[in-house]
Amino acid sequence: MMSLLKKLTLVSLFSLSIFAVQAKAVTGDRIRYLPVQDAGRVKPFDTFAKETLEVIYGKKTYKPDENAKPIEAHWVVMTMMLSPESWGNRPLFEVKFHDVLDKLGLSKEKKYFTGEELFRNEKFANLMQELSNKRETKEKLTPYFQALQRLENQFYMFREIAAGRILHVFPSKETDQWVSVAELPVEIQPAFMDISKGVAQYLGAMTEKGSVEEAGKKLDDAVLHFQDLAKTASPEKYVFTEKVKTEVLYNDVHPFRWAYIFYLMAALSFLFIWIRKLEKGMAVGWAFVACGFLVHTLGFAFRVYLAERPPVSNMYETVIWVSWGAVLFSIILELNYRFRLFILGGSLVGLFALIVADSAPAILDPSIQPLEAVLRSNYWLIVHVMTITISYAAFMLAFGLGDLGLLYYVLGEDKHRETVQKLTTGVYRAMQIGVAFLTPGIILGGIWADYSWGRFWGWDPKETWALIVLLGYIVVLHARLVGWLKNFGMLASGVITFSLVIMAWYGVNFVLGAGLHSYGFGAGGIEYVSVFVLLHVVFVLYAYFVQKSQPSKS
Amino acid sequence: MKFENKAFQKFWKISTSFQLGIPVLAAIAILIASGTIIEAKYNDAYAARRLIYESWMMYLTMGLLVYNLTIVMVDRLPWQPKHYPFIFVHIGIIMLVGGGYVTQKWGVDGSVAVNINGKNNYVLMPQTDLVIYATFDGDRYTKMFEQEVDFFKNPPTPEKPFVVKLGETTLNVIDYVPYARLNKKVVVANSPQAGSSIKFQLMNANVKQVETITQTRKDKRAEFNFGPAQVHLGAVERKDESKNEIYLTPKDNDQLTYTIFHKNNPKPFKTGLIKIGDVVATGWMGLELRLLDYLPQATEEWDVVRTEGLTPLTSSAIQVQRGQDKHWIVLNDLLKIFADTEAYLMTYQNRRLDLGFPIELKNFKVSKYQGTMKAMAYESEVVIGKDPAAIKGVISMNEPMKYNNYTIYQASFQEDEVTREPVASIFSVNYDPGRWIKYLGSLIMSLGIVWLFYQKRKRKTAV
Repeated sequence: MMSLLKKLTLVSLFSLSIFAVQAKAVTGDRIRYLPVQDAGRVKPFDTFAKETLEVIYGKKTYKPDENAKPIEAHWVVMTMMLSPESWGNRPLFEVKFHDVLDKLGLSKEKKYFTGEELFRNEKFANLMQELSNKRETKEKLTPYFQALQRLENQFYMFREIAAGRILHVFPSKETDQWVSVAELPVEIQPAFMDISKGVAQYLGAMTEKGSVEEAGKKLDDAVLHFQDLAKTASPEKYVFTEKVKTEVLYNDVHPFRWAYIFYLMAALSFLFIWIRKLEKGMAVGWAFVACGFLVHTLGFAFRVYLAERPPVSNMYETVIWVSWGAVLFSIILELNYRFRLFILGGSLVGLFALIVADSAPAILDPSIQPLEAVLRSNYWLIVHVMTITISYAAFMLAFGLGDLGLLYYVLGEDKHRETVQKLTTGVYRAMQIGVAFLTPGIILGGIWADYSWGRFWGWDPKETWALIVLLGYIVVLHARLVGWLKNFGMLASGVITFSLVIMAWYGVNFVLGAGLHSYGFGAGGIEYVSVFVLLHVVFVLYAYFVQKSQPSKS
Repeated sequence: MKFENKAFQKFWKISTSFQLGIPVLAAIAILIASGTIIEAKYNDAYAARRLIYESWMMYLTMGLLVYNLTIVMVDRLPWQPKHYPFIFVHIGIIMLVGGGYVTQKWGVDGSVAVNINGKNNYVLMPQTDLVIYATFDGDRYTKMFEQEVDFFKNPPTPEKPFVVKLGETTLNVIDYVPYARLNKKVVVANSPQAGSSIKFQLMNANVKQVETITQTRKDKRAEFNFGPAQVHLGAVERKDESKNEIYLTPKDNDQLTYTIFHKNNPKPFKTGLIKIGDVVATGWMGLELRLLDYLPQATEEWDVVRTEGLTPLTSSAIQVQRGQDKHWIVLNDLLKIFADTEAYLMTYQNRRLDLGFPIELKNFKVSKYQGTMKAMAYESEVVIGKDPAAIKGVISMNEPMKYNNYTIYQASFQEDEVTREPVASIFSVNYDPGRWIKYLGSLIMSLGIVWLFYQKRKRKTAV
């Protein structure tokens, strides 16, 4: 036990050192910490710039061409405001939807377009008219109209940033709404001008190899001076320095990326140990898992601190939470059974889920948003949402282990009978854990619904699909109990039944898009998810036929 | 359990086995999954409820589930301690299903809209009724017909209409549109009791406004309020001298006269005959009145366009035929049909349930996230009930209030289309006699599940 504790301490020190390395200040960096009011909360300019660039360009940094060094979002957004005309001819706007490109008469080969190409186009006005007509019917927007909506958003964001109207930097005494750069009081304007000049000089110094250090210092001073003025003007509304600092740190560290890197290392070392049939070396893998899990947890803690609520209110946040749960369950199962397989499955599932979360910001929105009115109850969010989604984690683990097991069937069951049996045990246990969380989760959901909507059960699609998931796994567990499902059937069920979870979790919000749980609705990614599900169905069928063709000795 | 009769033994075995249980669970899963797809297709929870969740298929599968769960328990008689957790789970599920049935059968789940500083004691229920009144003198109405109708499930068609016989007259409901986009239009009416309709334009350098005014029946004045001025269609009857007014009065069935008053002046400024296309200067703000159309006998009708599904702009509508005339009635609106000597008033409406006590809205507040239009919370300050027993309180999201077995929840609100200020609060009002059964069932089932987990499995095969 002591040795485990020691290891864990070492691990935590190691992962904390990542944060320390990342957190060191650079001159010219102060601008990133400038508090900005946007989308219902105060955030650092760094976050604002990254989110804005993501809307416009689809990424958090801008690459002028293939080989160029990426430019950070805060410089991109600053220059958009200081000299919008210099961006007119740069391919800055990401448009991917083919029908939209067709209607604009633009090439489908390219992904990025200049403002000139898109908005100086007569057809752009027609498309915007089309969108506004559709909106007037108040019907649901199809993917095509969602793509138009994004185009409108890109246009609007660029225009408003260029005009300085969207960047709210100065608290107002009278209203909740902060004052934007364009409306700054006359006596404050020079202070912001200093920032602008500082940015120009700093960027100039970077390209012309001038005195970067000096220009950076000047810019930092200008930003600090502006912040002092804001603080003096409304001291009670300008108190969040720590939080803003933490948020920039969170942006820099990108904890979930570190987490999946660790999970990857863990999975690789487990695979190595296992292919080589090594007796020792598990500790290395464990150390990587522990690092990954710790960073994963820290990232989660960051979001709790920044958002002041349990971070389980949109698809991105639940993917983070569910993968965390899957790793946790795999650790628990592994510690109980010591089969060396569960922890491998867990790290693979964690790795996969975190990569998905990290790679599709347009679909899985990682920005921290204020809560919908009906969700403003931390108590119920924790009790209902977190129990339901943690059950998905167990099912996800069952899915990963099922996949692994089927792989053994493909490799030849005869040689791996013992492993298959162990994996089946894992699938069964994981399903039990899932059912044990899902059932109370659904009931608690009913109680919350009764409490806040006035009915215990209303056949809302989200609750209905949660019930379908439960029924699915109950059928599987009972079928196993009476001997209908053998090992292969169990592993295949682990994979196939997870499709129900995908439907309840992703499908209801992104495909059906109906019902009272509309606060979680989103769009996009259907093609990837369908291919994912389909591939697994094909894989299960393939494994089935391989298994059939092998004469079983049992 | 064992039975002598072989056929019954076989039947019993199937009833207690998973050969029944698993298909039933699978059928329920498929049924309710299709319900969610229907809801998404029409964007309408009501459609899914009527077509799936309250259908005979649902009752059948749920009945089979309860049957299976019960028989399996009976089969294990006499029970031993090892059976207890499984019996708990099964009884819990049966109670949940039973409680749900009680709620659906005897519960109330409706909505009440209350204007700020207004009162309401009627709950709008999902059931619909067709009600017809008749009048011979235009003032007194007699209820001739009232019946619950379910056109959603049994839509009438021209071939199979819903027939209402009222003495000599027959009214046929010949069409039902669940999701209709609506526009008002004015059509020529043949009845001498029908009112008139005008279409006119008021214009000066800054304003160009086209409006239509239609009388609901002959000689019943109708008006349009144009801010500083009022336009009336009907006999001249000056009441409010503080306003500029125009009266357009039908005369001898096909002519129209105009009378213009200036404010604070009892005498008309100008009067005369006006024909379609004529322009008359009103003498205020350089405004001119141009008559665009005049129909001596006209009614307003709905123009109905079918749509794929529910949107905030759609409503359901039925089409009624009397002789050769066809008319649309929109849900919760009324239609007037003129016969030779009598007139009918027809409504197609959601049933209204009298709560027996009023809900009074004193104030309504929406708080927003800083610097945005995104709502953070809604709060309704209400007084519920009649005076000695009235209670005051605040209803907000996640914080309902109880009164006389009813629970009143914050559901939504209405805002003014122009100012975006809230004008009314919408509550959902609910009475649920099955609530305690469901809660008790949940508790028993949860206990059973926890127990099952602690129970040592004898059969290792599962793991």
